[in-house]
Amino acid sequence: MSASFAQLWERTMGSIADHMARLLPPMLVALIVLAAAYVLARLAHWVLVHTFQGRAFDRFLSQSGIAHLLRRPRHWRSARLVADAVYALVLVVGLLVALSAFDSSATTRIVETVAVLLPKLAIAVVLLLAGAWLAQFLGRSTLVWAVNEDLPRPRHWGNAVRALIFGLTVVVAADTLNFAPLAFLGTYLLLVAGLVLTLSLAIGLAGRETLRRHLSQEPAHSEEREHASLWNHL
Amino acid sequence: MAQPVLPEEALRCLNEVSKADIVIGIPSYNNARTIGHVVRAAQAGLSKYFPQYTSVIVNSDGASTDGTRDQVLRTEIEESHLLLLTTPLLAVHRLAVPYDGIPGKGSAFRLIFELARALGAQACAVVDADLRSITPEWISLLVRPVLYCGHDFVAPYYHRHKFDGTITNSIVYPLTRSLYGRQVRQPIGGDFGISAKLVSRYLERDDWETDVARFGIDIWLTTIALAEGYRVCQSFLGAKLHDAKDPGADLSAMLHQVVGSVFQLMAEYERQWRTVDSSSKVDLFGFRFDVGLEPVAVNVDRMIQTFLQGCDNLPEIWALAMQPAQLSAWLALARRFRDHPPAFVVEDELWVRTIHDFARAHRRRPLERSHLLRSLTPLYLARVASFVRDTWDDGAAEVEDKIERLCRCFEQEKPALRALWNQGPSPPIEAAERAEAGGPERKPEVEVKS
Repeated sequence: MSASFAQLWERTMGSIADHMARLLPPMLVALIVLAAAYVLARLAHWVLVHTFQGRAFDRFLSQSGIAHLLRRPRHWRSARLVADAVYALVLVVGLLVALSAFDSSATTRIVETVAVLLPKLAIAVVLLLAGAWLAQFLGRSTLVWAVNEDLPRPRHWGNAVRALIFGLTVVVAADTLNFAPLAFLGTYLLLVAGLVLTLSLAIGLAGRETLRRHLSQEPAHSEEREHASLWNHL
Repeated sequence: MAQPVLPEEALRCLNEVSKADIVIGIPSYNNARTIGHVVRAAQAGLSKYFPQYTSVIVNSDGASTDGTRDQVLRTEIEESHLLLLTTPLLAVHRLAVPYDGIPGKGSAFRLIFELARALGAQACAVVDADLRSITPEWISLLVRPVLYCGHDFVAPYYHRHKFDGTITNSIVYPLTRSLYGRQVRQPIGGDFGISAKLVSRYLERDDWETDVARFGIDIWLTTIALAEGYRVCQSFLGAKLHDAKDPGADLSAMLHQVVGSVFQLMAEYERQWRTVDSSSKVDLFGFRFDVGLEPVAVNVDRMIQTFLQGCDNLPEIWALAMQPAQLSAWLALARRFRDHPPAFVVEDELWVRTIHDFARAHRRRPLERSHLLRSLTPLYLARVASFVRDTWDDGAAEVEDKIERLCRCFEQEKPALRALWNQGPSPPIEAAERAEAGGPERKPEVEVKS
């Protein structure tokens, strides 16, 4: 009994030792690579924060409203933004290199998947940023227009436009990443269809009322419209 | 230097008339109803006052669909009704040419100036096509100072109803006067006399494709003449009565284009206006007389309503454009009006500082310029509403006194503008955050009168 236990123990320990002997060098390499990547990432971050001014990019973020949209504007100064992006990128690349040191089928698959995904991810991020900018720009335009036209609830108009544009961007980004594209598209189409239906009903009902008023007050209409104009005085 | 843009039709016209001493330009777009009168007045003016000169009337049309061009070519002066002491020696030619490029008054002017230069004109005058009060004397008053007195730019001087021309009275005149130091009362009047030298200078510029091509052209013409030291004078033309504006047109765009052009030129001519401390009068030709004016209907309640909408919805945008003191004062004004409706007075100081803030924001671009300028509309309407309420019972003289007071306020605030102009961008993001978090910490510099 004790002999068989000792044999089992020896075999187990031998197997562990074999595994350790096989995995230790790549693990050491991986750790060294990770440590180097971390040091490099910190260094790159420090250098970028202290040397990259990026005033033009700051202005773009501010003008476009992306900074405002993100609600944490101080953290989104371009120097920090770029430094954070480079920091994350160096760490991810370091992790991939570290994983590839193991040279197993699983790690190879992970590395290959991430390597294929990274460019798509970058495109998706760019798409989302562009969408955020466009959504903010058109949302603001709509808000100001709605205020100047004296429409009810201008903020809702602006937010609706912003949501529509950004939602569309999310659908496109999901499609780029091949991440449940049909689910995103379906949800978006349902929302847009619902919105269009609601607006059609609202406009239809209001239009009927307006037409009725128009027909009943035709003679006084032009004079009233002239008086109602905001811009006679220009 | 901008390239000549003469369309083929204009070149064909130039073959017919190769030289002219005087060019009268009439930009038009769907003005068939009034342009006949304007052409008749121009032709009579040329025949009566400049019989010895070769003259051309140019209608530069923006693809009108109501037969405006046909009307120009068809219009005949009724010679039997016009008693001339001198016989016109030379015929007055008429050209009706469509312009190319961005639709707008500026593009029409560009074609007129190109033709004036090509014809070698000594003087050029431009008049609006929707005028109902133009007389032959206008042509004399706009052209004579150029031909006989060596002036380069003749600005109009009209009597207008107290509620007419509010962009001029509340922004363009006081700001232009304080910046460039000359008291040109109607800098965006629309009817000008211009020398050949100045016409060439205008054509040299390369900003014809900007807002200048639209409603910004009038202030562009005036500002260049003032800032570049050309000889400027005014001519008293009587009353300005024009056709009702197309209610379908986006007239609020006029505000944005005019104000945008003023701000744009302010940045360009910074060196010139920085050295100006006060303003001086400008020579005025013509005999001044009082005239009856058509009342202008204004809807004060809707103006205030739009302002209140702005206060509810635009503080984040205004916070990017205005200093906290001004933003706070506007929001306080809205609050006071809601609590106590009779209290609605936009003080001159608040208005002047707001305009200065917007001018700086236009230069610094803390947000898109189109958003910036459009967000000014509710504030502008508030100022107009305040002015209308304030001057409701006033006569023309009292109203003019109040405009003069606003002009002096602009001049007094000019040192502050100089200081503000050079300041780095106020941290707009933090300002917006402050506004969102419940307004500025600083005590407002301007007290709002209740």
